[in-house]
Amino acid sequence: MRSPAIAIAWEFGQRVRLGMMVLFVYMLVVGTIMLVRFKMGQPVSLGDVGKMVALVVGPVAMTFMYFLGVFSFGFASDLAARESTYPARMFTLPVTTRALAGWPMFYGASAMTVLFLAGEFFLRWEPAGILGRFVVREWGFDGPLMIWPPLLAAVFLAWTQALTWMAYGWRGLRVIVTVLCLISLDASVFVATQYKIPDLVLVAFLLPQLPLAYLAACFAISRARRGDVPDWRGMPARLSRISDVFRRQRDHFPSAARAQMWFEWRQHGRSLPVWVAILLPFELALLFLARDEPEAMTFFTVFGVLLTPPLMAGFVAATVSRSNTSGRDAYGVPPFTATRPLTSAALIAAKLKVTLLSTLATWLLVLVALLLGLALSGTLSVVIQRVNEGIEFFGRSRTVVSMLLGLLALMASTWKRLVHSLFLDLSGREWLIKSSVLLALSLLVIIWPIGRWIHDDRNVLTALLNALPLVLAVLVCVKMSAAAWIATRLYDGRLVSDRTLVTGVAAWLVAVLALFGLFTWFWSTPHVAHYFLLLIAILEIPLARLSAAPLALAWNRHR
Amino acid sequence: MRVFGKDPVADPVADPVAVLSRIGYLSEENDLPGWMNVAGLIRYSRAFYPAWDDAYAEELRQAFALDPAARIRSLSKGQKARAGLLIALAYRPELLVLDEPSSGLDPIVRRDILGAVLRTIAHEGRTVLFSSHLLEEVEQVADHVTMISQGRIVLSAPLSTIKESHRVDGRVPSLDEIFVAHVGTAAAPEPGT
Repeated sequence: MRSPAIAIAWEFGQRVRLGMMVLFVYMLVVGTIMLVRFKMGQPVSLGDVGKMVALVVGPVAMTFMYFLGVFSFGFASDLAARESTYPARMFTLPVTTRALAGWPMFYGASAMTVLFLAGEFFLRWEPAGILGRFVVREWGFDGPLMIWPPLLAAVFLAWTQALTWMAYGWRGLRVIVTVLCLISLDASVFVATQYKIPDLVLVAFLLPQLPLAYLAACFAISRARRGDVPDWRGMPARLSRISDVFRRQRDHFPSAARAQMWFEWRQHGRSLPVWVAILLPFELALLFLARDEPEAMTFFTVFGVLLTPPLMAGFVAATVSRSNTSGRDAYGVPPFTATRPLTSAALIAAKLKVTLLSTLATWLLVLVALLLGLALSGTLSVVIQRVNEGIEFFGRSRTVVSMLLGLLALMASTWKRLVHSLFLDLSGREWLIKSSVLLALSLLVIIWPIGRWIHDDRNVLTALLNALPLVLAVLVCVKMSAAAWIATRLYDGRLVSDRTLVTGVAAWLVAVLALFGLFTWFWSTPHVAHYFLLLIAILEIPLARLSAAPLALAWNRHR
Repeated sequence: MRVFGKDPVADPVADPVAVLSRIGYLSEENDLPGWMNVAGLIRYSRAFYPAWDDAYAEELRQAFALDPAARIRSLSKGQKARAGLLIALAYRPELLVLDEPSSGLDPIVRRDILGAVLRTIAHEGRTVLFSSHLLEEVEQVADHVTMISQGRIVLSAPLSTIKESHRVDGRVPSLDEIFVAHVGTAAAPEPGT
């Protein structure tokens, strides 16, 4: 290799060749099957939305996510760290910063363009003759290839690279900034397509973003090369030092469990309340703008505020499973925690209690801030009026209980999102964690076309609704089987005591029955079978994933 | 393998007090929580060990010159090692495990660590399991030496036995020389040879 460009290309080639081969072989196999079925008189047409999603959109979306990770070096780095995710080993190479930024961006953009063009070609292809032909599709592919989807993918990747290569002052800030920016980009294009903005306008909007992202990436890498990492952690520490003056000498912890709770609270317990507190003023400001607007704006803002904690919990969840954010091994349990004379179950219990406290603190903050915001903006009367209308229509008790249940459901959802991935994150297996993230992201991408397909096709919707109880029953069987297996492993490994196992199962049963009781009271109608409500109650109350957390931690602790 | 008559993998999980509370461990990695201060680290660690000795912990803190209000992240590498050693010693563990404790440290900190090892062995008759690449330090404190190369034990015997068995012409070689003799050189041959 005689040039840095070829060397960098070679490195990326090594990383993506397996994914590219898999995709190429997949398309070859699908195309061959379509040709063979055409010859047999049973053609498979990609004009059908479902087949399009399953055969083309899904694999392309997964490859898109894979490329995002590879070309931004995301798979090999700690995305939540403050430092740049650009590999530090490349900073000492005799290569300009512009080249370090430019070549990965160029190769990534090229790969994305080829991927999306290949997808477009495949969507327009139909078996005919010997090798097939390109056709017009009913749902809009009625002309030359669209330029903006591959351009959007390239811009998406470019901004992902620029934002992930940037250093940040707080841990975890990279994920939030990157996701918000990418969502904004996506939303802009989505709105443009809904309003049928001409393709040329979209191209004019997207194309200048490539050089902008490149400049941002150059800035990020030049800072990282100097070792320049902003540190905003001192800000809350300086505030806490003021309170240290007034703080009396702390007593000793009454127990190891209490000490571990304190440790977990200081590690991550404040993350969710802090992040929500940062977002709340911006959201509540909309109430002041909504004073003179239709009521919909007020309720839109209120719902947005109420959905903020569960949404942010999804981002904060990764910090919950980290025992020590400064450990070299981002997935393993650091020796400081692994050598604590506490059972794995006790370590998990401390995390769960702290996440509960964190959730309660967050919701207290949200409710107080929301009430203040509504009162000061003068929009509280709008909300009260709607509540009174609800009371008149549904009755006082049902309305009040519905509101309380709704609030409880949001709080429970917040806590669940904080802890639902503990069993994965605590396993310490990088392949498991990254695979689950890739799968979740891929599902997010294809959920919209699948949802649209179900919504548009009455037959599919009817079939799905008819099969729903069976689907739920199967899910319940899977959940209970998993829970039984986990309980056996916990018992055999003496990870939890008999008493804890029995208490846990009893508590879960009580929660399920309580939820089932609420459901039957709320939906006392012959149109909804009670067994259906019971299945939903069983699936809603967490069991298997929470129970697996001590198992995952023990597996990680002793490898 | 058994530690205190128990399985060190299964039993620390199921019965941590019986095993882990009797082991003091100083990690090669610097994994003390950076956000804690020294006083908080002592207060937190104390809660896990019934045998924690407050007076001894304070004595060690003063001997190591650790400011109680100092954050762990603001400490130097040597000071972090001392903080880790403090919480490993303060409850007088029956078994002290030191994983490359002197790696990358200046001579003064290395002296503190070796001093702690000697005190633990001499004064309290406890066991210290000490891994190191600095064989001259091992020679100063070890009773029994095990040499490992590429995951295999190449030599394991009391230090005095090793020295005697490798005496040549009245001269006792150093542990470094003995190790090289057993493991051989890993260097590639010079070009042209």
